[in-house]
Amino acid sequence: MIFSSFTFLLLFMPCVLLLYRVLPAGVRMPFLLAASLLFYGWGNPAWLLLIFFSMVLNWGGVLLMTHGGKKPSKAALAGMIVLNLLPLLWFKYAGFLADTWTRLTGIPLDFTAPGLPAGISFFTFQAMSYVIDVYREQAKPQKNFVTFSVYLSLFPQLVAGPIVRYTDLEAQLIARPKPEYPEMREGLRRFCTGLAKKVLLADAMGRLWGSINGNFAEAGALGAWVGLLAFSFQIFFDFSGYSDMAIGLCRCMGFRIPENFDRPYRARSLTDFWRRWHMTLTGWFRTYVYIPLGGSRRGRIRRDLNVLVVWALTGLWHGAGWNFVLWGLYFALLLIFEKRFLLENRIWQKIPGWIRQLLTFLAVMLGWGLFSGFGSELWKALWGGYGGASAETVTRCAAYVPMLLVCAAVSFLPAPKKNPLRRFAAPVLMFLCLAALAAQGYAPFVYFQF
Amino acid sequence: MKEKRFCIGDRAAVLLGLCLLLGMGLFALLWPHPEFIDAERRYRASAPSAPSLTDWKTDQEIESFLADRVPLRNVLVAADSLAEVATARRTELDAWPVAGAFLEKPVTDPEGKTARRLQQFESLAEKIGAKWQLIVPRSHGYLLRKKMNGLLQSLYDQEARIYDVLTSDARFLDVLPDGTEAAEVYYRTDHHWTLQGAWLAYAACCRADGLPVYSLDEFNRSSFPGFFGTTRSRSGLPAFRGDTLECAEPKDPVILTADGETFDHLIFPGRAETYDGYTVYLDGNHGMTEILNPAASGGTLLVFKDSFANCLLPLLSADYRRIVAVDARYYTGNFSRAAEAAGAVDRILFVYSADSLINDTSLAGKVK
Repeated sequence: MIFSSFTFLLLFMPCVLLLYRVLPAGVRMPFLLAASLLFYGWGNPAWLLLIFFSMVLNWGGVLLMTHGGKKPSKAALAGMIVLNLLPLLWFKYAGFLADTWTRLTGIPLDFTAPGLPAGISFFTFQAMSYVIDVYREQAKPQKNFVTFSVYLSLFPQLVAGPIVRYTDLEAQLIARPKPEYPEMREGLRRFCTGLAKKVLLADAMGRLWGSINGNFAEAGALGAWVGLLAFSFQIFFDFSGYSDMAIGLCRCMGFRIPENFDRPYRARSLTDFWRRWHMTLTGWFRTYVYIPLGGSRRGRIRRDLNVLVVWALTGLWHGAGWNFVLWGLYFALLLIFEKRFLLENRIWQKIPGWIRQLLTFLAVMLGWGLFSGFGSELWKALWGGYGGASAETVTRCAAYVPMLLVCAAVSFLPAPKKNPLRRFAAPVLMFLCLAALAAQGYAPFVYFQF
Repeated sequence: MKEKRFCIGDRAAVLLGLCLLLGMGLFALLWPHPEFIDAERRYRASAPSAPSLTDWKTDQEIESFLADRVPLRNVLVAADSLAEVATARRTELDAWPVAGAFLEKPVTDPEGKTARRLQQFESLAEKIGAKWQLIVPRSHGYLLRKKMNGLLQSLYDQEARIYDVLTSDARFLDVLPDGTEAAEVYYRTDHHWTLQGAWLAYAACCRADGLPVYSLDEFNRSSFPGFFGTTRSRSGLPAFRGDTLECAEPKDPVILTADGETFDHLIFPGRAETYDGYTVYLDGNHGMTEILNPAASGGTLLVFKDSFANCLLPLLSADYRRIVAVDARYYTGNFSRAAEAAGAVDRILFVYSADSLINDTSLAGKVK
């Protein structure tokens, strides 16, 4: 099930939130678990087997690891991590690995990947964070299967994050707070904002990008740059919109989960950008990969190598393709360069903030070009290899100027301190989103298959 | 006692919002809606079939079911279309509100299908053994393009390439040449031409065949106000000012046979009250239609057409004793088979919009 659907907005969400509010505390967790499993299995019931496997593996595995109060062994930890990664490798990376093997060796290795279960990257990482945190004695093993399963499968953040550490949610799951109406109202406001970002902004940008990436020869340089700008906005509003909806829905149920975006396109350096973009993922990699590798504690060269490893893995997490690895390494190299030569450079610091913001955005935008997977065609178009844009492209780009300006304003400008229209924003945005859904139909999230 | 820290407004807002959404969902699910959506000329998505674990489609079926039944659907679609227009994205709509009319999108022919179609018509006519003419009226947008901004005009200008190919063929009848006043020959809210536009085509046909051209005053005329056509519907926008549908049929007694049913008139006034008012002509679209007018001086005319010809045929029936019209979208079988069924013919006329000529797959598959 996806948030931007009539099934969710008109049936699932109001039923679940209203029932959750009135149910006695003892029933809330089982109800939430049932709702989350219904949500996840709605797209494909077969996926329930996978998440059930993850629930049983991690809940049971951790209890076994810590049985008798003993500190778990490294081997047990390694075993748990491998078992968690196996489904991810199978569903997401086996085809990619087989293809790479064939290309490198010339020995054909046929593998038809089964359909990719929604959110597998998210809940796998979430499960691993629980196991590792228990191993490090930063979290206590959860003996209640239902409580643990709710943590893993909580529907608002199940398929596209934020990636929530168990320690962030443990106390709230145990307390099972009854959501108060002011919180629910704030939560619904946040949800409506996120839905509008996805349906009104991201989908519009997606249509513009979709019309251009189908034919770069016709799009020319103008179309390619406008298209890449649209894609940059699409990916931001799609993903941050989803995070807003997840955070809003959790708030409606009395849970507070971490923020995932902090106006990343306002960043004035790439280091700053990655402190604002998909913060829970970068936090995960920092906590569970970068720091265990030594972080920046073992000298500059080792630090740079660690950065390369982390970013290659970050790229690979986003997708099973070399373009994603390249994208990760692109940022690794830029971050290394920035750390070594720019951040403490007086000349760089003297450059006006808005220019640094623009340069940062340009670097990020070109990174999205790598991420998009359109490879040499896109690059050729960007640098004028296909000449000018066709009349259709120019007309289409001109038609989208107001929307691009709206997206730019929301992305680049600071949040308004006071908004007199705040009271009316949620119902108006919900109405416009329902209108867009009635007109558009079904449109899955960009990050849905990660 | 714990101080209440919320105001009534929060509870009311939350409960009202959630109950309203749920109410919409239950209405969509449970209310008995008519199966046919008039505004979109199609049937609503049917109820979900029994779920199958090996071929799971229940989520999509339920979503389609709800989407077709959400309350105030027309209002929501209109609101979205208005939002698109308000943000300068009218060219994203399926029909464009431009220069006071609702226009079909410009037609292009990047694959050179126009020339191919001409060859196919030539081969078919040779097989049938009769002379032929072709009518492909210039579109409403093309005729209106000089009133548009430069960007939109450049899009419609591309249609000129189609007409460069067509006008190079002597059998092409250029019934609406560049410069024709668009408002006189096209409806504002529909992609079809007006009675005046149809008459210009009628006059061109008759002159090409050496037949008399009757003025509109020599026909029985009727008009039906409040007509909202296809392009308005496809744009999703609300329209407050409709067109007046004008019809004409010969004063001579005629017999119409449409897919086996027989009538003694060509205009169906009762259809004007339906959502698709254009079906006043010839009872709408049929696979094969025959019009007999024993008082006419001309012979038998075989017409291969789309819906454009529906308002033209009543005019032509004043001059031809027999007209047989074939619509590829509704006729089972190819054009050769239709020609055999029609019997001996004196003339063949192909009447298509540029969009049908180039993009209609049923035409492409049957013109043999």
